Amino acid sequence: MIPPILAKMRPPEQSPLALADAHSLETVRLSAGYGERPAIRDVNLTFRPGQITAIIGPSGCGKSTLIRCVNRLHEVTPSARVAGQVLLDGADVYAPGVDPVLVRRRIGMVFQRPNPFPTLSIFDNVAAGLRLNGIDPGKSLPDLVWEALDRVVLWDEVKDKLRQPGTALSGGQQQRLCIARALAVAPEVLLLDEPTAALDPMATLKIEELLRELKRDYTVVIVTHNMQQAARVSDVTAFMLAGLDNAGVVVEVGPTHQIFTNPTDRRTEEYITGRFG
Amino acid sequence: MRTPLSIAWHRKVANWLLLGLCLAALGAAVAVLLAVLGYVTVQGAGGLNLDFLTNTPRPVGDSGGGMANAIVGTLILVGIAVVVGLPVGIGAGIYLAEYGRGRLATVVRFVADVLTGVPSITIGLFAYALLVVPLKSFSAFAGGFALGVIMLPVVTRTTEESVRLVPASLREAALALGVPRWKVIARIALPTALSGIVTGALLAVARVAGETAPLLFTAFGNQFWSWSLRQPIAALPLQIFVYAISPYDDWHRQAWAGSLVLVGLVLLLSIGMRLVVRRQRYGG
Repeated sequence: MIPPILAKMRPPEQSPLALADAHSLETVRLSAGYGERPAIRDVNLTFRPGQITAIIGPSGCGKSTLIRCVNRLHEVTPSARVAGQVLLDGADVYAPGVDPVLVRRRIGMVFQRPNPFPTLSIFDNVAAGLRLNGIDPGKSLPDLVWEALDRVVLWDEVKDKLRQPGTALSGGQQQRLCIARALAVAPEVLLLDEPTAALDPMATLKIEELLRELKRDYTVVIVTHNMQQAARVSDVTAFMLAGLDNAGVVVEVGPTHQIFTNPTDRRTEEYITGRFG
Repeated sequence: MRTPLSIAWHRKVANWLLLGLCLAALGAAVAVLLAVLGYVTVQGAGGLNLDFLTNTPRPVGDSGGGMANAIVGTLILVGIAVVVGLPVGIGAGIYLAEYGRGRLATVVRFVADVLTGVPSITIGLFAYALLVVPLKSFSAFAGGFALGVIMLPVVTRTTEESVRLVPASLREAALALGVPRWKVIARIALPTALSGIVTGALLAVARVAGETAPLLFTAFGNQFWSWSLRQPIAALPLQIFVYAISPYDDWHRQAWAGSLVLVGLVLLLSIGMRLVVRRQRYGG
């Protein structure tokens, strides 16, 4: 349980969770698909530390597949295939001998639908990554859970019901719980796959505020259907589009304000002005 | 043409007709269940007393006596069946749900389905040939083994279904935290599927607790106390069978009482297991 004294403490200026340095991430000629069907082709993107990179594009353009390749979750799907490189601090996560399990510990992920573990309490959900991985956090688990929940601005809302199931929270709270769960294992990169698609506007706003906070310490990549969201939170935007063979390619990438105000590619302009998609 | 605001009369009739049919079917199903339970209770309550629950059978002609040894015998047999059937069944179910894509899985699934349909007396013969003949003795272990084999396919398939129902999003959430596959199965998928697995196990236990045929030439039955797994052992269904076809009124009463105890045991077991599962749900 949480020592009562913790409940009264003010958050420290710099949470130890924040000490995880942000790291650079780069995809090199990354292609992927399912069986014969291609999903993305030759994606070259650089995700910089301290920035939020948004990936936008119509449904089926391979946005989700792209970030699922980054933490090697794509290959869990039967018949999935990947080619190319994903460089985390210059090291290819697809190099022979690299354990996908360890890659995923360094690259956290948040999904479209909030998915707290239904059999676990709020506390145990946050602690799940550390417990299941047998990681010794080097300090007490309650402290770490508190830090993670505080980081996602959820502590005050759940401090009195840490023993209740995580699924008892509202959708927005569940999603912040899922972000806390991802942060608790101290990743370097945070991938978010349409994290607010299932949330109401207020909950969406809270997540977006949170992302702006998190980008100081993590390399953040967000896939979103919502162009306003990309415009609001991201520093860099990449626009993807599926070609005739259904393989998604990056059409244009650049600073967000430039993509939204002065795109160089005609297709980008058509998409952001709502002519299709 | 405008859409009318009131539904045509023939649709209303069709609606009532179908609803009526469904209710009738429901009523018939529940009525049969209640009739069986009610009849067993009414008939069995008369013979149910402390004597019945604490004594072994008396010789023909002596009135009184009970089925205490058969009650314990059934518990022992079901216990052996659980030890034999559950681990293998649950393990096979997990394999089918998590890894079962290839030809082997298809074969296992097919065999399990066929095994579900095999008459229980055939499985009794199998246990007879496998254990009774080589060991030259009827035994509690042979009986429990036969029951365990009957449980196996039911447990396998219900476990598979339950584990398969665990949403992919939960597995992905765990994988994305850097949790190895086997731990995702053991610590996330299985606890989430637990209530389904327990339900399947209970169904299987309830089914084998009342099995008579496979015990005829494996556990064989016993008029006396026996705690040895290598000796013939009494079982409630066997005792009920022997007493029910006897010409004695006292034995008929006891057969009914035995039926009531058997139904009660299965009921208690179901309620007990559900309480345990519910309490563990959010234990973390």
